[in-house]
Amino acid sequence: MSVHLCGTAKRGMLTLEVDFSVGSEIVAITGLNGVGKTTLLRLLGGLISLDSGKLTVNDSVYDDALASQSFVPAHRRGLGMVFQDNVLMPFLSAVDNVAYPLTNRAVDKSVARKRAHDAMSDHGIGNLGAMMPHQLSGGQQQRVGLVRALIDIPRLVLLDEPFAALDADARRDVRVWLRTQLGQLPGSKFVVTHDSQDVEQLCDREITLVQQPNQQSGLRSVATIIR
Amino acid sequence: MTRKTTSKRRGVGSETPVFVFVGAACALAFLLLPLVGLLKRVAWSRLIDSITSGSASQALRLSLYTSIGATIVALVLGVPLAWVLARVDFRGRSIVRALVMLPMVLPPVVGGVALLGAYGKSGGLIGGWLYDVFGLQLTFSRSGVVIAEAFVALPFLVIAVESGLRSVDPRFEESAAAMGASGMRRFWTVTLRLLMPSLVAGVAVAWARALGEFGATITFAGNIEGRTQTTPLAVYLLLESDPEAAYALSFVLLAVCVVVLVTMRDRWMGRRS
Repeated sequence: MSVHLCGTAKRGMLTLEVDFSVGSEIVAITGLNGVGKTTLLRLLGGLISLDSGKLTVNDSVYDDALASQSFVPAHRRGLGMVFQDNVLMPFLSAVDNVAYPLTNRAVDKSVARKRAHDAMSDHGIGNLGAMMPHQLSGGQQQRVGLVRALIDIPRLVLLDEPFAALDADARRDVRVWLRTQLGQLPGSKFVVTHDSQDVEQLCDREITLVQQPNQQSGLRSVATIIR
Repeated sequence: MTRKTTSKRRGVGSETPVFVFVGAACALAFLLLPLVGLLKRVAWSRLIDSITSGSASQALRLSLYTSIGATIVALVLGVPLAWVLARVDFRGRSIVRALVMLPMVLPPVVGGVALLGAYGKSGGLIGGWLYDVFGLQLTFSRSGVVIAEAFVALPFLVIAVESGLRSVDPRFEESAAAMGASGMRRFWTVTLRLLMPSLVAGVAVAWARALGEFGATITFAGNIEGRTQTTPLAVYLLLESDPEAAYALSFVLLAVCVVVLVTMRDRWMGRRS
């Protein structure tokens, strides 16, 4: 169980350079704003593709700039993903949001809903099931989003600032809960964060993105493992 | 800016001259007066009789079927077209969009003539072929009415759906992909769902437009009672022979349009904001 990523990706002015291998660990992705942390996550998730280089997950090629047909699209990567602004489907209740990844695998709807409800109850938010996203606070939405990301036993977990909407107390609770949940998953887990406590208490490794001085126009960010 | 300051705001720019109000009132009267005149001429006590009598009820029924058929055609053809216009980058997209809009500004009679040029049994571009191979004659037939109505209604649907697709936040589709939804599933469970208000609005406008179609229909499909004589055509003819029925049918069309507008405003446009 490992992720090898070596290559570059361009997003507008920014060129991201990455070269790392991680195992079945929880990896923090840190760096200043605008340095490309979300871009790195999107690269791992298959929402954008590499401009050069190669991404291998658990010994299978997910993306290879030299062989575009090898690209594995997001929906076949077995992701557990939380986006930065935590997008719950606005037209689905909380429990249906959590059940959505299961129904995509043709799991029977009532079974999926039951499992979603159980997963929410385990996390202590079973009472929120019938609520619509707009009725939930930012923190509640974030909890629902986390439960949803992990319900289908993802092979690759990608969390973009998963605690941003939580206050300090809730953050501590959710961090402990997440640590346990992620520990049970076999694949690599990536967490974008600005919080040094997240890095220390949740993560085993840390990849940091640093902007490099560049002689040409545009920005160049380099990702390196620092821990 | 708070409500208090806006309501109290005074200045040269915010003052409305009196003549503007007068002009606005005139414009409103100009639009409403004919409708009042129409309502005044409707023989209310015999309204039901008028619209259930022979040719009137025939025309109404035909209009209902053909306009629904035309809306379905517009829907099936229009959604993919709107998708391409909204989401696929290609050279000449603005030209394609302008061509799509053409039936909106084209005189409907010209549309009918053009349809004859394409689907006419003799001399049409593919009309002869359709007749020889499939035995299909569109001119002067019910399917011809549907084609004519769909031709003028399609752009309205495309515009509504295209702008709807542009306002669908791609993050929801990305999020669905990250949760394992294939392209097909994303379309049915996310895109279509978020698109629904625009789709309903587009269908309503397209249907209303198809229901009222006159010029292209009479030119392409003719005016055969019971077969291609839709309500607007019947209104035009009955105005001579049976004015009461003509006004009754006109009222029905007006009422349907008002209902469509009200439904769109309250149910869909209001909810979006």
